[in-house]
This record gives sequence, C-alpha cells and structure tokens, in this order.
Amino acid sequence: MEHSIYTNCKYKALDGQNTAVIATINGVVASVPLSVDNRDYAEIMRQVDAGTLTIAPADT
Amino acid sequence: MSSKARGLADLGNAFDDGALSNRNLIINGAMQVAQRGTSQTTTGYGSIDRMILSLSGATATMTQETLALGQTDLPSQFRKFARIATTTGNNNCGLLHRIEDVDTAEGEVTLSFYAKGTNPASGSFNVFLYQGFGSGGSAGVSTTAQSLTLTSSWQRFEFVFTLASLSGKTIGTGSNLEIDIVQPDADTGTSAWTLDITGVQLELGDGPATPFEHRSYSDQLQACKRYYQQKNDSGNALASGIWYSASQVLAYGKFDTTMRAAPTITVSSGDFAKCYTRGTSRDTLDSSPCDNIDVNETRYNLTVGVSGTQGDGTHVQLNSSEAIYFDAEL
Repeated sequence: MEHSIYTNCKYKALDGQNTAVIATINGVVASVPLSVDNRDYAEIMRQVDAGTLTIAPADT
Repeated sequence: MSSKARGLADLGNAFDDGALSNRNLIINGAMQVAQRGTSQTTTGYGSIDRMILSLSGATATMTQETLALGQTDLPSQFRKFARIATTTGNNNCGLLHRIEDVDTAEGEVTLSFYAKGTNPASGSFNVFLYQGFGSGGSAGVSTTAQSLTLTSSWQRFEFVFTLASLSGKTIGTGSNLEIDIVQPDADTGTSAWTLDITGVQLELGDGPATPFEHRSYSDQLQACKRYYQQKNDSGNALASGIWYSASQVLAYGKFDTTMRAAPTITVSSGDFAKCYTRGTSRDTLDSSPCDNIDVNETRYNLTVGVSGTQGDGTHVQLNSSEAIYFDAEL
C-alpha cells in the first residue's frame, strides 16, 4: 500500500508544552497524537529523522 | 461410552461443525461493517472496515455489496461481500488485511475465503502473507505466494502457509500480519478484473479450514472500533469542559471503546461542532481541534468563532451534517 503524503506539519501547544502535531495528510488537515504507536506520527518522525520533513514550532 | 468420552466426542463434533468461537483471526471477514461508507476509489482504508484497497497505480473501486435474500450460492448466513472492480489493472493491486501484532501466529496457518470474479492479465492472483515487524523492528518477511484462479461462480478456497520463525526477530511498534490477495508482482498487465470475496478466515494450524465463524454485526462493529470510529449523527455529544478564554474551549471526550493506539483525528469542516454558553451556542472555527490524545479519550482544544465567557462550563456537540473521525488503523 502506498505511503500517505504529509505536509504542513506544525506542533500544537498549550502553556508552552507540545500536545499534538497538526499535519495535512493526503490533503486533509489532521490532529496527530504524540505517540509512536500511531502510524501517522511514526511515519512523520521517520521522515523527520531522514531529513525529508520538518515540523514547525507551535504558535506562541 | 463414558460421560467424559461422550463429552469429548460432542466437543469434537462441535469443532467439526465450526461451532467453537474465536478461531478466526480476521475481523470483519464477512464484510458486514462499513463505517466509512460502502464505496471507495482511493488506496488504503475507505469503505469496508479493516479491509485495505491496494491500488498500486491501478484504477479500481472497492464496494460493499449485498447478497440477494434466498441466494444459495453461499451459506445462507452471508449477507455481504466485498467487490474490487478494476478498470485498469496493475501489479500488487488487490485486497489487504492487517492483523494486529505479528506474533499472533507462528508456524502453519490456514487461510480460507469464498470468491468469484475475473482474473488479471496473467490469469491468476497471488495470495500470500507478510510478517511486518513494525517501526524499529526486523525486516518484513513474505511467505511463498500461492496462485488463485477465479471463475464466475462462488467457490471456497483454502491455502496453508508456513510463517517464518519469530526466533531472533525484533518486534517494533505497529507490527502486524498482513494477508495479500493481489495481482501478481510480475504481472503489470492493465486488463480489467473483478474480485468478489467474503468469508475470509485465518486459523492457526495446517487445516483443513473449518466452516466460517459467523459473528454478530454488533460483535464485529465493536471489534472494528478498536481501529476506527466516527461520530456523524447530528447532535452527537462530544465532550464537556470549560471556556479557557473568550475564544478557546478545552473539553475532554471519551471514545466508544479503547483504541489500538492514540488515533489520528480529522473533522468534516472547521465548524463541525458547537459549544454551548449561557443559553446559546457558538460554532467552532477549527479544523485541527484535538490534542492530548490517548487510546481512551481526546482533549478538544477548540478555537471558537464568537466569544463566550471565560471560566464558564460548556457542552460540545456535533453540528448537523458534520462528522469527526478517529483512525488508529495499522
């Protein structure tokens, strides 16, 4: 099965603490949990580690 | 015959008749549950629960179909089947199903299903299992592929596979055992084909396959909700919480059941919900409303279009014709 396409990744935060990654996945905006058991978060972090994707910091 | 021997004989007969439960490792093998809808044209999950349409460059539609009442081609308990209608074929296009945790099975397993249809350009499908060891785990291993040739009549097919030993393997997150029924990797023909399939069952051991284990719709729906659930009925209660500021609501909402993993959450639109305040309600203005997500609940961290009163309590409710989706699939 083809991999999903992740764009526009950005942390969501409250009181200075990251609480989720907001990402566009195959064109749909999604709230992604900070959990390696979640397949989207695992793939996002794999791409971040590979240097092919970045996650923008949360708005302050 | 002693009463104990009689009891064992009765148990054996019950097994032969397929009466013993939890033999089938497949969820939704009878294609009963379709929370997302009854048709999809995109790759991945999109219609029948737990079933993946693999397009791999092909053009195809997967649908949930209903058997005619009184039909005799399949055992009478069957009501639904999956249809993959491919207009432009390609290699590796077909049906996939992922069973949670690769160590669910080891050694010999028996796959069975009912199917009919037409075949890819090479004249047959490939059927194989893939042991996916997950993120951070060992490299995946495929079994030897076996050939499946369909006719225009329903038939029950049965395949015995030998899975690779798990000794020495590392299991990462999201590991799974995948069933693949696909156009062969070496067949890049573009001919159209159709696969109709139901009664998919995977059992431990080297067969023969026992009769399909029928489960109630409610049992299967509950099992499917471990991987995917949604709320799409107008007025569905989502959460209770507070107005954190005049334009921001914080509220916690439980899922219908504990999910496999903390889910990815999407909504139908930014104004998917309303937050009540002092005798009126305010529509949300937020297409990424969730954070602090775990396997049981999520926080709704919502931006609201029109101000409420900081510190007030609130009830968050789904708006008419809107939906929220929770996806913890493999």
